[in-house]
Amino acid sequence: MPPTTPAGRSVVFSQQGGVHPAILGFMAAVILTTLAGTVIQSQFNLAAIQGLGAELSIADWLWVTVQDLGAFSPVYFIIILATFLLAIPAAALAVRLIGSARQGLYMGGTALGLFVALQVIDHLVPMPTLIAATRSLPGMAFMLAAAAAGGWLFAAMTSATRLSQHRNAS
Amino acid sequence: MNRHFWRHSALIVSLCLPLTLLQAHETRIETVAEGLDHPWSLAFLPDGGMLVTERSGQLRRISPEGELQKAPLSGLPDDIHVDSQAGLKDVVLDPEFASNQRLFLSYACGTRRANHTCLARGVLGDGGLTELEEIFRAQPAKAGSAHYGGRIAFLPDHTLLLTIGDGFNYREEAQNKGNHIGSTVRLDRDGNAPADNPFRDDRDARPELYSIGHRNAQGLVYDAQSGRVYSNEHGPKGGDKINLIEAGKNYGWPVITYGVDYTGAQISPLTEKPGMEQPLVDWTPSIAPSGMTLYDGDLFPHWQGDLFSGALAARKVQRVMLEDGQVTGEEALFQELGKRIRDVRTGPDGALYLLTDSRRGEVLRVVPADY
Repeated sequence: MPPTTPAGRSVVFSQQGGVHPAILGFMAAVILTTLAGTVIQSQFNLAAIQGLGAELSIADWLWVTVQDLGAFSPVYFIIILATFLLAIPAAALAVRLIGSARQGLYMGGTALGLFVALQVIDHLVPMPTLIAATRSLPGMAFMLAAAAAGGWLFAAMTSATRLSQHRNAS
Repeated sequence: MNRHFWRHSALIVSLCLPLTLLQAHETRIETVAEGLDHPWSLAFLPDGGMLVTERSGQLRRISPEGELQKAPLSGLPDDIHVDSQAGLKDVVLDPEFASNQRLFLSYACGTRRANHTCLARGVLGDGGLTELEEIFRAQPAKAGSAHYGGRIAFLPDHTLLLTIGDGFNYREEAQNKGNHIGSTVRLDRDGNAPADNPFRDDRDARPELYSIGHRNAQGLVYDAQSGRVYSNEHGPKGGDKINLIEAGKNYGWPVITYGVDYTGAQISPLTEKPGMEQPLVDWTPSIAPSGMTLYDGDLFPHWQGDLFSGALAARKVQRVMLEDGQVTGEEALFQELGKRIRDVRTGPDGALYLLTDSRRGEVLRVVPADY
């Protein structure tokens, strides 16, 4: 059951059944970051193997990427979900306090959130680095860029215009 | 379920039960010593005693009467890096120990931010080591406290092999002959590269290298009868293996592997490549192999010539049956202990010795039940 207001109106679903833009934006941001991050880390791992003299065909690149979407992305989804559950509300608070640079704050907040999450994970797990692509600066930068893209998507999907449209529709 | 099912099941159980009981009673396991802090390696002294390394940086002595001496031996290296997988590793006696009382220790040295796999030698006295000298330090320094390798095995010419891990974060460097990461090195007893090492003529290669393309070899055995060298190593998630180690060969990591990363991510799409060696045994899913012995004792004649590898995650000893260097079968042993096995050794008495990996680790002795 979705949570309800005292008046009995759903905060998740409007009376017309539409999902609240914040929920929709959050899930879209998590999914975009998960999928983009998964594909990015595959390319970094494959580039490293190719850099060792292995000849990889396009089929190899596609096969690995698809495999990773199946096997790596569920793990990464959980990491991103947990990260964004903290990072997006924190960014929202920063937006309220600062009052400007809304998109930038969401982008920076999600990227910073992922960076902190990866540091914490690497500190807690037995291996020095859980996600191999984040061993290098470019790899880390691209993974954080994917998180920033998630933050941008959330900001776009929860803009004042979108929220106003949603309110009018409900 | 019909009547035939139960009748057949009862028949199968009644046939299997005596066999199971026979296997269960084939061996007896005795505790030689306990209360060891993550024991890592075991060496047998000519007087009937033993030396045991603890990963936390101590070298312990067990008397010929089987008593663990309370005080650790003194004189160990003062820069042993103890953290996570880092610490004191192997202890191996010099082939001429009877005359020179010398032994060799492998260990992680340095700091968390800059550390190496190191090799030192010293002379064993009553209370500890003297004349301790670091004779080899794997290059370059690496950060993090994972994947050191650290197993030592002597060859008949009195040179030694030492396994060196890839440091986890440096896996691509296992293909780089310009460093020691992810390799087996061959050294003389002074720590120098012998003149007939396989990469000596390669100007881009480190002269100490014997084989490359390894992840984290934790077991190393020289078979005196066949002249073969066997090594086991940890894969990532899957891809644990036993390799037949030969001079100058490339064992493929991370270009070829049967494992995937712990996150499920693919490391490489390749499992084979020309110029890279296939394993003798692949363990997927992983068992996390540890110390290994080639059994050549008298107490278990049917085990002679077989490899016995400890398994940490799988909590067992994996017997690998060999015939002319080919694997003919495998058998899981001592699972009933439910303990992480760090090392397996063949004792001079023909018993199989096990080290269990915990903060209260043990030295166990396996003998025939009727011994």
